[in-house]
Amino acid sequence: MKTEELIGTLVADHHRKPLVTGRTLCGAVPLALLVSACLFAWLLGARPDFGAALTSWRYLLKLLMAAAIAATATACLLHLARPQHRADSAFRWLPLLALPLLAGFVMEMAALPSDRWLTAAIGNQPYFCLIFVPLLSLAPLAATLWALRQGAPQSPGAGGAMAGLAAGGMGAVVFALHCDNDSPFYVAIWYLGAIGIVTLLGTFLGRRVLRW
Amino acid sequence: MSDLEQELAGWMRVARDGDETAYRHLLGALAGLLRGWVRRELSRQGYGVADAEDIVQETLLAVHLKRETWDADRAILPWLRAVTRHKLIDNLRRRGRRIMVPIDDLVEVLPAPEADEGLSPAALDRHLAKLPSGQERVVRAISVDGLSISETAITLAMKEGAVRVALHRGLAALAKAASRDDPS
Repeated sequence: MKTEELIGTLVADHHRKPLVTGRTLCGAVPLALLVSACLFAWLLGARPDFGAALTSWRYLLKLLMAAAIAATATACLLHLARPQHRADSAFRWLPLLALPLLAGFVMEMAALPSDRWLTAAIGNQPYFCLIFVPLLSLAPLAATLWALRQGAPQSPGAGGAMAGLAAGGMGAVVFALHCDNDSPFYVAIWYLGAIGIVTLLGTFLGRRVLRW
Repeated sequence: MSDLEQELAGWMRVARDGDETAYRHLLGALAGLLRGWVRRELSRQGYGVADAEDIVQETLLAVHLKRETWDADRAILPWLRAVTRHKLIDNLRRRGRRIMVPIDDLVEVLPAPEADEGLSPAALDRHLAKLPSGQERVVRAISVDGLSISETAITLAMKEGAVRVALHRGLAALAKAASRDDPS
């Protein structure tokens, strides 16, 4: 095929507008959250003391951290969707998201006697978190990867990691509606661990589906 | 802002509103520009320019499919360089070639309007042959035979909408095949 012929072909395809990452996110993420919410309602259900928990700083911190990760990473996806943006500049500021959790960590150390730290960190059924956060993140991960696929990320692996981080944050928000282990110790280990698993999964999948 | 920048960005903006002529002008100018960048970068890396036209075509395809990732409020040349750089690196790696000099930014070079005589690009044709036959027939009719959408619809006894869908899917599949190709 000569280049002139290719150009004629591309012009013929011109009226068909490609999808855009931003608009795809707006459509796909709510849908994915709905799927996760149905899974949640079917398998878990909200914690019985949900109303009372909303007055606890520990619980609010947990929700806030998960929501902040989801929102920030989703916003970064829009940045990474453009080919001239390097991934490392987006990742450089992400550790700042851990600052509130770090503050909570210090407050918890002051609030709890040290012989109860281990119990707080392990909580009850920590493996629950490692199973359900990734499970509830699967539909959001499909949505974030699909949206980024409409863009042109410089690095498929880094783009996939960001998609995974966003999805992991979303899964963590949903799971947090059920989970009653609220200690910042617990959140730092198990929630971040679970979100890390989803991020790794995103990296792995991104390398396959985000090439262009 | 350079004349080139203004000209290309202007065409792309008009093209976004559906103007085919502007889009044709844009892609024509781009082909020359990309050819200049790609040849220059291949020789800077110490490689021959035999594959240059294949890379130009793959980049044009990427520009087309990813054109919405250009933010119309920003300059278009940095975006174009980024897309070209991505396709160049991708191509060199797939061909098992080392990137000797970092491709940090593509410098200004004179556009090379003419493709090399005798060096005919082959990669897209190879991928084209592997498409589902419906898509292949449509893409061939429009590219090689130079038919319009409506002429293709009549020739292949299809609806125009179906031709458009097959064309778009075919182009996307070509780009995908190109980015996964492993020429040895």
